Amino acid sequence: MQQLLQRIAWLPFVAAAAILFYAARDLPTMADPNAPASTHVSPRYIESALEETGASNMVTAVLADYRAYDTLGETVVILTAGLACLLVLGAFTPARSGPTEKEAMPYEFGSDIVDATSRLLIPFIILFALYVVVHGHTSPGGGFQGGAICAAAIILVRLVRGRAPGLKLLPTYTVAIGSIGVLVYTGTGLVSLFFEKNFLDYSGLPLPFHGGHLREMGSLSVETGVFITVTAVMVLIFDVLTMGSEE
Amino acid sequence: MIAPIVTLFLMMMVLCAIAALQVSDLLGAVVIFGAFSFFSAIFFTLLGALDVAFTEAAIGAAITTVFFVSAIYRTHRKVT
Repeated sequence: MQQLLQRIAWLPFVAAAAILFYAARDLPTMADPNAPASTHVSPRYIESALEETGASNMVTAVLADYRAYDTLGETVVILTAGLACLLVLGAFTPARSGPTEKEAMPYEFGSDIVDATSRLLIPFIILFALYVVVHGHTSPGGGFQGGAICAAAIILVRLVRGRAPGLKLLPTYTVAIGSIGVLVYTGTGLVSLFFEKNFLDYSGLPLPFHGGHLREMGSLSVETGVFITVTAVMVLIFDVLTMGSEE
Repeated sequence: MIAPIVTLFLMMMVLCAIAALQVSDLLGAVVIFGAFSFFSAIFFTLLGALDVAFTEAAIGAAITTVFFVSAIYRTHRKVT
């Protein structure tokens, strides 16, 4: 039975490929100026993104404001990936014990040059990450980018100095911090729902701003949530990969 | 004007990808993969997508390399 299934496994693959290739003929050609996306969607964003959302960086305007639902989904996907890593590698699987403390990744390489260089660099890396998040409306950047840079800085601390000086946290607490990010995101949407607007419609937020400025503050709030989640999940994956068991 | 430079970096990316597949030492493959991410970050910069470029530099060149190295440390270094 299994051999038969293995022998005909290519059939659904070929069928799906044939359907996809057949359907792809109806797609507009690449960079076609007459395609529906170029005639209706793009001009709308280009003409009114700055006025409506207060963000001159259109990528951020689309990501955090017009398509905020999609970004919420992406953030939840990242949190789910971190949870999966914790389940597979972390302490929650009793069947498979992790490596002992001695087998875990060695720390403290003892290089003064690496130590001094990272001490000099890490504050500036974290400052740049925060700048990327806060300034993401007018320059390239946003929550995902800033979170990645901040996580790289924290992982650099752990690589050079070991886990103890660099925010020693149990993976369960790191997961909690990542969940706080998703909570900030969803909470922003729920507040506008509470003030009789649609979910994630930032014009309903009770802040002393108006028009585009108010929506800019709303998208800054959700970008902060994305930043927290991305940073926490990256650090979490590093921790469960290099962690020895506590026993 | 920019096309030859873009083509050069695309060629370097293809070379790095082939080299990462051919190397039997997994640690070497990870380092070559980091070089691949670096070239693609430069490629994104040339195309004007700066936010994608520094995400690629942070995630692809730094964090994924660290993840792969720690994964190799928990398993075996050589391809069997």
